[in-house]
Amino acid sequence: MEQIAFWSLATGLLTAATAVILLRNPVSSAVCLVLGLVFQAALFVTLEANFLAAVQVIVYAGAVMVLFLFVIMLLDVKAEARSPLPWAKGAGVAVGGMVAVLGIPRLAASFPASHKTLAWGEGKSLGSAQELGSLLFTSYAPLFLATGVLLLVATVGVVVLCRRDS
Amino acid sequence: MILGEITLGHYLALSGFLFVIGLAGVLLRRSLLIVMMSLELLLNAANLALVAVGRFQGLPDTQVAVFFVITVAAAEVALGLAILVAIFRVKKTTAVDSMANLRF
Amino acid sequence: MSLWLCPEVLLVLAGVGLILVDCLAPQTGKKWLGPLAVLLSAGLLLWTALSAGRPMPESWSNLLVTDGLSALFKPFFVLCLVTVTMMSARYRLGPDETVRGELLALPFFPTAGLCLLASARDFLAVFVALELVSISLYLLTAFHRAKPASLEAGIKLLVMGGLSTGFLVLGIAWLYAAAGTTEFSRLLLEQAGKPATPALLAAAGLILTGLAFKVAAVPFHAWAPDVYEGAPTPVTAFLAVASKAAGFVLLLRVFGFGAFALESIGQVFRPVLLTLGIATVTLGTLAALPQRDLKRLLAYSGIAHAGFMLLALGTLLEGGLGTVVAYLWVYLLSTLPILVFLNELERIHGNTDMRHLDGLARRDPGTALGATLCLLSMAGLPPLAGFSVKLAVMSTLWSAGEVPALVIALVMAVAALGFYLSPVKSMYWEREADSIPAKRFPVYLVWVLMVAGAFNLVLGLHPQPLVRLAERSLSPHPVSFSLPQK
Repeated sequence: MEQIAFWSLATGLLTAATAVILLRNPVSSAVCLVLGLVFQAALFVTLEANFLAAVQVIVYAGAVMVLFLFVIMLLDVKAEARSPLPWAKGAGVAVGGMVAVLGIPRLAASFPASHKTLAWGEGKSLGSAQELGSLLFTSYAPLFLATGVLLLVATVGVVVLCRRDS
Repeated sequence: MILGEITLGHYLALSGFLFVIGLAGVLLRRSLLIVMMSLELLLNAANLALVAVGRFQGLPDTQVAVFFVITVAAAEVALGLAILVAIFRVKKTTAVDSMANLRF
Repeated sequence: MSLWLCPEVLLVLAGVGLILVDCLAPQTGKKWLGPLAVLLSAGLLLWTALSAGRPMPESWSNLLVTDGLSALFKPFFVLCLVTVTMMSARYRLGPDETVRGELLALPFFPTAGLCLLASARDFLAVFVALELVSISLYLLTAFHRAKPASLEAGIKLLVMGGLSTGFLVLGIAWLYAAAGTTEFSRLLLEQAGKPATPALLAAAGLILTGLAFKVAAVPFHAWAPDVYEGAPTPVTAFLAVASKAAGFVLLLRVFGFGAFALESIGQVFRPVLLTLGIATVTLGTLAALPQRDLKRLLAYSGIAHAGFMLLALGTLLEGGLGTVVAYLWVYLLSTLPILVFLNELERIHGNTDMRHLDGLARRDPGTALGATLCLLSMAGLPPLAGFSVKLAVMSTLWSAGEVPALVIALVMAVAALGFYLSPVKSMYWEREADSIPAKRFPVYLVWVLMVAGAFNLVLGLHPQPLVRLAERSLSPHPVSFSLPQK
């Protein structure tokens, strides 16, 4: 069961991600991104991070993607013209792709615990909102405050950049 | 071996591939919207690795890290799209992508 | 120390307060906002300098630490803030005048982030503080929303910053996988004596990549010139001095004596850092030579300076680490006044092309003299402070036995004279343009430049304070100019 879930979700995620960077029309890219993010949320569920899976769907698939689609519609962005890939870039992609395909599994296998397996239901339960919340508000409280300031800056920034002066 | 039990290595490899796809998007695409979507892919790849490591190693801290990364990514997207809208207003052109001095 | 007295908290409160005042004050009161912001930041500078040595609140100590380095660099960052608010109050916004209040208030937030960064002892804290700084800087760079160059600089910085964030976060994830912790001191304790695993090295490499973007080290430097040129000049000052210094404070803490200061990791990363340093100093110097715009010139000069600091850092000797600290202070003392000067130049002429300097020495001898002293200090001519720190870099390289790096650094230090002397030449030897604008430089500029020039001269003749500063910054307990601890 774990295997089926992992392999189908992983294939879905990588396919959607590849589609994001290959498609010419930004709307299709955005829709593929939503799809990929939902696959990732499902992967979070297989990792028993249920709260984060919910956050992933609400924040990314909900807020961020709506923002993307809204801006695409607002700016009326057309599909990009297909331009031939320059020779040097094509070679770079080929070499980089080869290195990645060969190197990443090896590197991933070299981590100390990378051969550890854990069936569903085993291991410590970490993903509950309660546990996350208690860490966030005790050990990581200063960082939580700092992210609050960060969101304030982003809000002020969006207003400054997009406000129309009367 | 590969089709056996799912290990931490599988998740790390998956996140590595996702990261490379995002990196390729940032470096190769001209459209700023798609570059920003690729940045999201990069951060999501890192998130996947964080959650997987937390689960297999029993570290709850990684989920806090993911929480922060999601917040930061949302703020970054909001700001980036606001700048795009502002560029659109100044240049009065829909061709956001054709900015001459924006090659990396 | 109580939470409410921490410089970080006070900086955020001051920023929020300024935004509120800007919103609520009547239109006639708006002109007092600039002086208010400068006063607030100056007060905060005084408080930070006095209190930076006090320990952080007890409940924060798992993430933040007070040591020599943080006690020395918090005042550094707040000093940058004072200068930046001063410049913001004078910056010409043109049609964007309605948002001057935000330009004055917003730099307080990244400064709070920088102060957190100076104290961070956990990679998660590093990440959050760095993002607070970066996101504020994307916004501030794009701030001049009527100017396409500023907006494009903002989006460029955002994409490059986002990329570096991706590297940093993946590095943190791998660090969790490889070592199980991201706290610097626990990493040191648990990994000491063990051979470095490939996984740990890969994590350190990703984190180094993320930080190299921030200090604009080659090959991650390409964003700097366009962004420096496009950003409003006060923001350029923040990027050039505070943001770059933050990158080096982190590199010092991470590779110098914190998280990765292990024999096993140092063996691998010493040549990497030195190679980065050689590439950065060479490319920065050579690319600066043909520049005619002074902001672009400063961008490349900043890249070259980063190269010198990377060389000193790359030796991983204690002397080299101290040299980086001294170098950063001299960099502040010579670069920041030049940026204040460029801000005024831009106010008068509308841009920062070098031809506006022609014959300045005859019109404004005091300004020209101060600017010349700062430029020559950057160039590293004796007897100015820039010379002492460059000499320290060379002697560190010599004692580390890195002769090829030493030779390249020497050649580049000489070649750099070419581009630092050309603005000096146009100030003193070029004929004045036929049409001189009627506007003159304000009086305060002469004072800023002369005082900074005098500092450069005195510290060049008597470098002992710099040496003491460097020694103190590396001690685990803050001993510099701070109040006695309770």
